[in-house]
Amino acid sequence: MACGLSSSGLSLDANDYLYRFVHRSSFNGDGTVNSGAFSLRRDPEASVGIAKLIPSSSFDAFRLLKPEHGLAQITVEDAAATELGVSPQRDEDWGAFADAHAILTGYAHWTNKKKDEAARALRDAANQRRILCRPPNFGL
Amino acid sequence: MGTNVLTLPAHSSKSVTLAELQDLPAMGDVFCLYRRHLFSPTAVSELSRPMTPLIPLESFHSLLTINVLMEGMTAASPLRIPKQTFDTFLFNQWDFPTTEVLLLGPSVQSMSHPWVFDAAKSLNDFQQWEPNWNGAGALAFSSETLDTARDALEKIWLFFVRNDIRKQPNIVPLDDGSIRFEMVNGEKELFLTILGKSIEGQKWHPLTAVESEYQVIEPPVVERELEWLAA
Repeated sequence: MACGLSSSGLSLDANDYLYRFVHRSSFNGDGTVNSGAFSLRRDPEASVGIAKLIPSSSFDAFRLLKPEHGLAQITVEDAAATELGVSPQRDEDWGAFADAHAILTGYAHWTNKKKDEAARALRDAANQRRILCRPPNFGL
Repeated sequence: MGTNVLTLPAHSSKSVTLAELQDLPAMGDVFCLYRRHLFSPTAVSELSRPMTPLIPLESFHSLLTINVLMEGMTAASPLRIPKQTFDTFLFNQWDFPTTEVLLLGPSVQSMSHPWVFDAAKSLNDFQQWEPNWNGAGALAFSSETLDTARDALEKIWLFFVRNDIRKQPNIVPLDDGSIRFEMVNGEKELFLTILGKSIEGQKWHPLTAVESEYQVIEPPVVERELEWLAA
């Protein structure tokens, strides 16, 4: 499934991976993530990183953007399955990785029910894929 | 009185005095339930809720510092426990409504990993979290939310014990200042998401289901949602 060209001209494919910084409280004690990892309740533009714009040689530097967070990954298709879009949106706070920043879109007017269904589905998708790294002292 | 107290069968009970309690050695996972209030000899709480402050009940021994760990009273009905209430303790007594205080020991298998204390500690920790605790603009947790969550936790714990549900809930702080309990039992999953006095209940069955059954419930009917999980 192709998701077409974004306003930045970047083409995202269904199989493209997206990185998600995950706060330590959104990790369970067994190292899996919980639904908090993809909470859509407050943040109207949940951030993700476009993996293909983050060279593997720079992964450690990317991870250190938020050293207290872990990193989970989903695909564009996982997001689309929950009716979420993915839109590249440059973010200067990401420094050298500013162009790799994207936001999840399409949920601004969703009910909590639908937002939480999506968060749960993304939780499961992330847990089925590999959790890339866990933060120090993860879990509660 | 020594460690033999901790090996009493689960359904036996024994009265002891405070003086006897002072002689207890290290108590490991033992914890106490006083009516609606849990406390642990080994868990020292820093609870400081304004309407239901931490009440150190007594300090007998370095390994036996009993503080109220979790309180279930509402802000409208602050907790007051006179020290003399604790002159008698009953051990391993399950039918607690007629019992003032229980000590539940490691001899009770399902209690041997009292996740409820970690959970209660997490709720206490949330109370200290400042706004933007996740670095992405998250809201802090209100006292009202924490009160409701503590009440819910107590109900969840008791329900899990009574129904022998071993998979402990995940406690999920959310960026909008709400607190969620994620619970799975068999092919069912239940979210209870708490904000203020409001609780959103969300159910999935089977686990592969994407769409949920959703409703806003009143705190007193939390048990009904839990019954669904166990049924």
